[in-house]
Amino acid sequence: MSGARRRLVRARKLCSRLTSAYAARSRSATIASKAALVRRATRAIEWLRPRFFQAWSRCRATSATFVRTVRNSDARAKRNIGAAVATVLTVATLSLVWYPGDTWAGTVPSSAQSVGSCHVLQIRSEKLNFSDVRPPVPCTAPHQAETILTGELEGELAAADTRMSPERRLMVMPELCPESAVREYLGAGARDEAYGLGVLLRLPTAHEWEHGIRQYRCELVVEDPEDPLRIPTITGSLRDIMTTPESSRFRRCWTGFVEETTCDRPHRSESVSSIANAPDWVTAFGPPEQFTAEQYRQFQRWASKTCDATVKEFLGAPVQRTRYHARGHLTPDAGVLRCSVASPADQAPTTGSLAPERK
Amino acid sequence: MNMTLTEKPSSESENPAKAKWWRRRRSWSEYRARLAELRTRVLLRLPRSRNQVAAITGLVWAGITTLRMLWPVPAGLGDAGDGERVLCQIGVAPPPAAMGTSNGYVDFTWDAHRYYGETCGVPTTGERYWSSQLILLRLTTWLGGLTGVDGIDFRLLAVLCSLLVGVAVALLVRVLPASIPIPMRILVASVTGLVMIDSGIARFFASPYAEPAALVGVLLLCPALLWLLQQRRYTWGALLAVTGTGAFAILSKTQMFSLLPPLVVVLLLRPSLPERWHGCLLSRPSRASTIRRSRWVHWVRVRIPALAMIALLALATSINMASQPKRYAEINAYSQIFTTMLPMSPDPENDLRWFGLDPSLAKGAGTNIYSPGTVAFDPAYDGFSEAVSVAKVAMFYLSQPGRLVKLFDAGLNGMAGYNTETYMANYPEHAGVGPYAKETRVSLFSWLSNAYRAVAWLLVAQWLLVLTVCLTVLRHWRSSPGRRSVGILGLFLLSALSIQFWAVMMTEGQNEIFKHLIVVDLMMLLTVPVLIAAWAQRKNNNIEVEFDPDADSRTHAEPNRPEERSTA
Repeated sequence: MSGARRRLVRARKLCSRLTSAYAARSRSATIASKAALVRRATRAIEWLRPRFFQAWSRCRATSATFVRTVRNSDARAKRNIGAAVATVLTVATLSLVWYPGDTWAGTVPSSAQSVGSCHVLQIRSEKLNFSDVRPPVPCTAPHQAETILTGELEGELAAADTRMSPERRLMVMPELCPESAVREYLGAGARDEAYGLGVLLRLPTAHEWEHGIRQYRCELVVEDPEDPLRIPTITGSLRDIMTTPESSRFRRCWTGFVEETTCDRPHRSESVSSIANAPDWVTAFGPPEQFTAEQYRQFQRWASKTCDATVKEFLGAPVQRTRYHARGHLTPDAGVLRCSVASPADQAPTTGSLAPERK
Repeated sequence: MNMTLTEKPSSESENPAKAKWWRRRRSWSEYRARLAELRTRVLLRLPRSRNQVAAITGLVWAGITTLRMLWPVPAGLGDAGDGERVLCQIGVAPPPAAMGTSNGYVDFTWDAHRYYGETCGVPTTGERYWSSQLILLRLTTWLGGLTGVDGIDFRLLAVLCSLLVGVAVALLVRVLPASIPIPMRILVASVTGLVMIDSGIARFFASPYAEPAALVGVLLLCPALLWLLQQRRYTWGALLAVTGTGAFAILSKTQMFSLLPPLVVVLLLRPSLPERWHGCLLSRPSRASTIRRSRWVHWVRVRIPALAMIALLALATSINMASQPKRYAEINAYSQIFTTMLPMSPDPENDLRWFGLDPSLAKGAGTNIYSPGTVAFDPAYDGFSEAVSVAKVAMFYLSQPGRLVKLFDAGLNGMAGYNTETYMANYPEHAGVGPYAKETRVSLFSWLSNAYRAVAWLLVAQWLLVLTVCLTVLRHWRSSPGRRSVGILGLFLLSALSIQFWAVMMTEGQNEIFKHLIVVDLMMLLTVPVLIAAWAQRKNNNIEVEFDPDADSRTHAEPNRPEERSTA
């Protein structure tokens, strides 16, 4: 008796035993009807049984024939199978080159960004890139950039088939994202210098450009003056920040003649957002760090005269009537003078800006 | 021998000098006898099966390469700002401190990062950078996922590359011509392994650049080509191996298209259509009918499989070239004009006029597009990209042979400057060495290249030597495809490195020249094992004849193997 036949007999015996046991145990009519159901099922199984085993035996025979054919096949057939498998594997491996990484899921169109929206920039390429389609975050959440202006490109810039080059983008940025717009957004007065903030011009993506979208936006991005590679994080909006004490984080101060810092750190003088070209006799002194005491005094005498008007404007009163005094600082090449208002020499370094106090 | 030795002492008292000479000779003879005995013992202990020898050699070299990369501290190549364009496609970003700049130490792990939109690609423009290096990187990421690494660990990439080096070495032992004895095969394959673990090459295996795919691709192409070229009629497997590894190497970097022309020539060298299909492809022709077709039609017809492979290769290369970032074309054009051409020019203004550019841009000579003195912001720079193309640069140099020689000399110096750049780190911070310290664990070829640094034109001498040897091999073994394969491989390497040399010099020029010529250096170094293989098969009697019990039953008139026929 074959294995299949044996299994069939065993199954039938089991089924009839179950049915009879079920009927014997059941005394009620409901149970009898259920027993009838089981009997019908048994009959159905009886009908299916030969057909199933016929199909099963056919399937086994076919697979056995296939295995026999593969085993007995000549070398050429084996080579063909091997070649086909190798071809598929090679193509599959090489196709990994163009396996797309999905960077577009969850993005928002460039045009959907509005003034006042805040953005997360975690890595440098996100800061430098033409476009930014990452979803904005609430300004109360940690972020690194904020949209301050949106506009539409015009003229030659808009007419080009492709977006401008990175160099061109930097060249047109002062025109498209003017300093006046930045100052207005920050709530900065004439004598407030924004420090540690950069401006970014964002363009539509290449795909959007092809579809005729020409909307651009300007972003303010937080920078670390001491480490240009770092992208600091802030919480809260930058709108009108220059009118608040928090602005000290974004003001330029000095701890010495050339050592710059932000005004939220201990410092001795604060910028009044005033610059002038240094005269030739100052430039001739050489690098500011190497000034002699006499050269330094000579320079400060000239600087205090030059800076007096702007320092007065910053303080809102003549310098002589206050306990502060005007001081000059130089850029590393000694070519540009920066005016500042300095604390008295006998006072310890202060923290925070004088500007709110002034207002 | 013993008899002679016992006879001689009688003369010692007569002539001491002669006795001394004899003693020396006797010790030399003993030394030679011992050496021969040792050699015999080694040969007898070698496994009989070529596959076993190949597998053991491959395993040894995979182990050596892994050890060389990871012990005593891992070594590799730090990112100088270019790595992210490839790595971003597998969703990892460099550590913030090393982002977009050359760091003094190597960061072997990059963390996972979610990129949005165009932030993954070429800095600023966001164009995608495709490379077959992505295959290795994806495999590394998957391996890392199994070991719990979230992101990528370049030490795993180094292990993967080491395994591929082992595979290539094993395949070389397996497919070198039968005319080269087993010990010599091991020697040739081992010299190849030594080239791959040299400091100048191996440090790329643990780096975020696309070079590992190019270097490993060129290496794997060598055994694939040897396998293909030993056949009188190319089989599908060998064709596929050459096309697959060729595509892998070509797709790694733009300059690697230089492999395509020599590959096309190699693929068309011999028929590739099975003989049973020479008559008719789809149906079996009747025996009585005579097929008449022109010689050229027949030539093309019997190469249909190879032509199909060439079409696929050309298609993949074209797609790859077309999809390369346009921004790089501009950067390369800038580097060619302002970093390479103008600093070497006696009259920069005149050169700029030749290209139709404003002579005032000559002030940008010696800068690159990102350096502080760049003229890319100058209004006169407008239209630069349209005015300068690779074809125009080639025309310029061809019209001024003196300048071409200067460019050639600069390129040779770039090749000789193998492993001398100092702006990319080799060690991690915990290695206890200073920033940008050079790794010189295995630097035999780096040391040998000092000679080339002294006289860069020695590279031309080596090129000519390899050319002569390979042509001699081809001429001498006309009827033996196995032996000729070594010569053709040598010529393949020479032509590929020559094309790539000029491709680099005409595009990027002297900008990061040592890094861009690394594949050219590798191909030049690979000619050394080719020379050894050519030398090893110089004798007629170095033939390994495989025993075929059915040979007698077939025919006595025609030998089985072409090698036997040629040397019978």
